[in-house]
Amino acid sequence: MRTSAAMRRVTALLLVLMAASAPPAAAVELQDGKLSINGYGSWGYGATNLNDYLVAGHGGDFDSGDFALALTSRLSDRAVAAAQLHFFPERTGLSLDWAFGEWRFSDLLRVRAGVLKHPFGIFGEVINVGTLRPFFLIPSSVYGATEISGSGVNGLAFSGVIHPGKGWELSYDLYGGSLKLHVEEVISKVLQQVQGTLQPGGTLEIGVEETKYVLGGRLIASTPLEGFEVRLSAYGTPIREENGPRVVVGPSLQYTGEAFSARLEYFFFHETYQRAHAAYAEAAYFLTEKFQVGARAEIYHTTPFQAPIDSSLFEHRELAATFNYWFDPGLVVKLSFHAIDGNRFAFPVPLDDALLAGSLKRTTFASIAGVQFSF
Amino acid sequence: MTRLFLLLTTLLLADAAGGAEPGLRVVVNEANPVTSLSREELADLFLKKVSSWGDGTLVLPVDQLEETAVRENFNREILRKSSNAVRAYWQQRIFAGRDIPPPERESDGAVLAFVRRNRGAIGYVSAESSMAGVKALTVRR
Repeated sequence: MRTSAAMRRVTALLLVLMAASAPPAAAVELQDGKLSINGYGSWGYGATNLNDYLVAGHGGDFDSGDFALALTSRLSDRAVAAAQLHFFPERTGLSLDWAFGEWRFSDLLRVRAGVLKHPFGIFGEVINVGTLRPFFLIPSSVYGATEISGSGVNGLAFSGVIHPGKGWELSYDLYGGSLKLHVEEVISKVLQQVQGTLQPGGTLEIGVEETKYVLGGRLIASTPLEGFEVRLSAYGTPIREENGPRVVVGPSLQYTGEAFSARLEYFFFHETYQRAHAAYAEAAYFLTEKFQVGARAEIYHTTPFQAPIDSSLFEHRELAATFNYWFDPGLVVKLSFHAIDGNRFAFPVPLDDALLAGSLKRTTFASIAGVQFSF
Repeated sequence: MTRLFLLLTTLLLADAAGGAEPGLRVVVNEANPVTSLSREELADLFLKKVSSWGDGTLVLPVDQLEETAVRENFNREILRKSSNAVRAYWQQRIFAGRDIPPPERESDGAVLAFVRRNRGAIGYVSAESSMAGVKALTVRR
């Protein structure tokens, strides 16, 4: 669903006003904590020297902005119902992020059914919550439209936590159902280029693909070193009619201290038509109580199996730096600079015109300024 | 010298007998059979990593407001986290759809009323608060 440009600008303005007026208070909590209302949002301006890059456009782009509202209700000692609505005018319009019912047998076993977030890596369940990360943008190689991290699972999930003692904590997620993935058909685009079937005005669009019969899990080990944890995420599709079996697997390391935080994630993705590797490392440090700096390196490469072709559309390498001012843990302004090599996420619009003219440039510089909030 | 020894002994015994930290007392409902908890156990209850008491009753932690000195003290001494780190922890839990933070009450009196009203409740109040109708826990190191 897409809205008009005017509507998007009004939405962006409203988001800025909401952020500016957001009090440092926490969520709305009612009925002795049995009902909680929370929300988050963001808006950013991005400009590049050449190609469009996600929320940053050549010549400047004001049109990014999103807002979500979450409701959680404890129906009884063991039953919970929760839902989250997400309004993202530029991409998905108004969508249901998650809506599920949960029954808590014990700390070792909770069962939930419905529309769930994808328990994947560090950010799989909180991809759009900007106050939980140092950079305005989530690492696209892992959490973007690369068919690695899903936007949601429709089905059933089991989770639990074990305390073996001596400061260790193990938690797990197991899930099954259908997985929604954001996809960009770059391989098809490059094949069109090879076959000479590109059309002027054509470009890459992000679509949502549903992958059925997914089974997956995630294991999180919190270590005695306060703030340091190790995660292993994996999922696969034993049955899939179109693209054959799909496997995604990878580890995540995270340290979050009072002033310093660091993350490292790597994922391997394999299906009938392609094999991809995605990784990033980022670190951030609070120079003062409010002022934070951060750096990130990111890499992505996919290899298609259909033909021995190579293209800058299969590659992404990025170095980025961010400078953040946190008014409150729930309200931050961020300014980031990105140097990008490759056209997996950075390309001109319409892309086909540049491919037909042979004018696609693989290097892009982008700067993004924005506000992100949560309550 | 003897007076100094007696004074130190009295202070140590007083602390071991009831308080968690100077200026802070952890309280539960009078019907709760628990009399002491370790700091780690207490942190797990308030971060909702453990959700039930030994008899199966649901744990209902209740917090003080964020800006209060008693909350700051509790975060630092029991949770061993800054207020910002606690906020970040709950944001992660909330937006992943995992859990919501404990309800907050605006005063010691409101916390005590919550604890009196709910069998599984656990809260913390200033040391000078009246313990009528609740039970103060010993926090083990």
